[in-house]
Amino acid sequence: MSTTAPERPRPTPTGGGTGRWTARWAGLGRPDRILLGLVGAHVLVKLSAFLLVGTSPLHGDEAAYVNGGMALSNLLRDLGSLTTPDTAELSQNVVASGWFMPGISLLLTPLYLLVPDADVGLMRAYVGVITSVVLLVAALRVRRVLGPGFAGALLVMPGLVPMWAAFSMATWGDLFAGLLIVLLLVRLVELSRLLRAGTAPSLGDGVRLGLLCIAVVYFRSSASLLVAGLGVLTLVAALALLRGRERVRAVLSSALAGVAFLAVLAPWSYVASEALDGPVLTTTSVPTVLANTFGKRQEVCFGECDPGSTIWFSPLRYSRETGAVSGHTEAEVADQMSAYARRDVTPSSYSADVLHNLGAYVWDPPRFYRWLDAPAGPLRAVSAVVTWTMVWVAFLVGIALLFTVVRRPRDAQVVSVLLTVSLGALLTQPFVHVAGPRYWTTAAPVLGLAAALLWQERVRRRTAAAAAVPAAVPADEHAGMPEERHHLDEVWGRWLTGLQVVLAAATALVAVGLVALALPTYLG
Amino acid sequence: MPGNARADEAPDTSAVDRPRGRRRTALLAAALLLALVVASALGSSFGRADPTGSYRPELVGDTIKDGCYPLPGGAQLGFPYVVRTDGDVVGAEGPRRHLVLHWSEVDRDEVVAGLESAFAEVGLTDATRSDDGTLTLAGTVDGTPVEVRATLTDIDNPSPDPIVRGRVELDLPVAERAPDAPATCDDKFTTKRFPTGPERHDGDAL
Repeated sequence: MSTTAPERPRPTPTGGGTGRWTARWAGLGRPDRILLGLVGAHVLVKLSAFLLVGTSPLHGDEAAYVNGGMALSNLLRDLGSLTTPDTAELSQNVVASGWFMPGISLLLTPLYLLVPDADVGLMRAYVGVITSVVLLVAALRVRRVLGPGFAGALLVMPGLVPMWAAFSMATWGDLFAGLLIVLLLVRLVELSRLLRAGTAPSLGDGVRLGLLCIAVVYFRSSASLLVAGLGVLTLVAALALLRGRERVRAVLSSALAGVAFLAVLAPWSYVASEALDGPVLTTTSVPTVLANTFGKRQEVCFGECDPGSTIWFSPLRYSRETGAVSGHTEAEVADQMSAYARRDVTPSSYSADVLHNLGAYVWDPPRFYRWLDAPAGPLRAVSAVVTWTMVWVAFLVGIALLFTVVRRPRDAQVVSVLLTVSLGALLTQPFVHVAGPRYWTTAAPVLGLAAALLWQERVRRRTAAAAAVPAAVPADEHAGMPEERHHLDEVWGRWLTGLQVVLAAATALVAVGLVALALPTYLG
Repeated sequence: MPGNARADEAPDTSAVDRPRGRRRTALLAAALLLALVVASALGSSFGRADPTGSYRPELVGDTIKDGCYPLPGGAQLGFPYVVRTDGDVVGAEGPRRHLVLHWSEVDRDEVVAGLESAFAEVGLTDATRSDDGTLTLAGTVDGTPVEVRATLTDIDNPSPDPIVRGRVELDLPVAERAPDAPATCDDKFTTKRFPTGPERHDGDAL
């Protein structure tokens, strides 16, 4: 698919508005016309999603994010009118119990600043528009860096998935984090090209990368692993591919990325630690999450927790009550509760729970129609079936990605490694957390890009087979690269291939290991 | 609609148009920031948002300390504890109150001593420790003979420095809700008198 517009007769602009648009359209190449068509289709899917869930009441944790947005808007109001901010309100609503990073709350702040009593429909429309804009920005960046094929894939997966569109009007951060991950991946592909050419990223590049990484974490703190994995990979690549002063500059740039990351994380950590009277880095929920996921739920509170509340709020109450009478922080109590509930966890029970979580992760992608009270009827039924089909195909693409080894061109190898590491890091979720039909929305954009990569690889292999020159290195592989770097680039390519093989082998090993370990639990 | 664009055909991201794009991004960011500042300054004229704080509920009270359902004679316990459940059960001796506590920080012996002294203060001076871990406290409160039995069980908390250490089951005379009980006593999480039968539900994943 070429990115240059094919020659076609252009009508003379008539000066009128319509005429200009007609001329523009005529000047577009076929790929861009298809992309525009996909954008239109995305908008239609979004509108249909709004019909289903646009005015649904807040469900579960949505309330926490909305509270955070409201309290932050009050903070800005107070600062704007030079009034002392209500720190108790901020603590209670933005930090609350420290379960969630405030990314979505920050996103909602402008809405509640302008419309303090915005009803749920306006809120959903607002989030829905922002997520679409960010999807389009991501698609434009992808088109620029990876080509229209990848951009099209992104506009289809997740852009045309009805449940994704509906979920983009809800306030969990998972979906938004997935979009930011695309921006991060595109940035890393650009950086990889710089590194290949022997140039270090600028210091500004480092800062921007750090900011993008912390933005991802603000929306979904469990994406920290993805950010860390990609960060380490980039640093290693820079050290391996650069020499002399460029290498020093790359190290400085990485250091700045780290500083930018920590500088944005620090205010949150500080405020949360102060509010909860104990050290908090990102979130506080890990002990209870592990207890509920792998331990005995009926023993999380050293016995049964209070009935009449959720598996999250009851343990929280116990840890706070016990902390208050014993002089410990609630986090210290929660740690011990978790260890107690998990004291009988075995490798086998753990593996069986992970498999159960994986099942919950993939089983029911359109589940949120139920939770968001989408009215039953043909629209919901069709949306659910389309979601099921698209997401399950995407899961298959994900499996194929994990086991695909791309050998050339170099750029595709880089994309393959980045996507595989990203998907692998996102798939650690079922290894640490009760899973549900919400987490695929983070991985969906990665899966969309993976579909484009695999398609491109398929076409390349076919073309190579047809041309019968499979073994030869294409002449353009080192195009525009100084000759002294050719050897290094070859070595880099072998490393990328090797890394993909190792990742595929590790995936296979984990999969087989999980099933083998879980068998005694299933049989026993 | 994946395409087959080869990477080397992908549009160039060379330095030529990047500064322009970057300037545009910077301008956009600055404009948004300015809009936010203006909106903040005007913000209070639109009214104030009203968050519910529902994800940080206020801690409620303690049924013993608050006197919702007092212990005999209004006894107060001097060791760190939390009330786990409370309610009446009908046994061989008729209806009795069954109150379960978890204690933290202190050893079992201190809890036994704490129970003895707390109940002795209100008149239950006759304490008997039996080998099976049961403690019986008897005496008279307001002229009425009262017997309290406490069964202590250690909790096998695996942490090196355990906070929560054991469980006390108190077998008490039935208590009525105090007429002057404070408002906190209206909350079932204060009284820990839960409707019988499980009504727990699992929330969605965090």
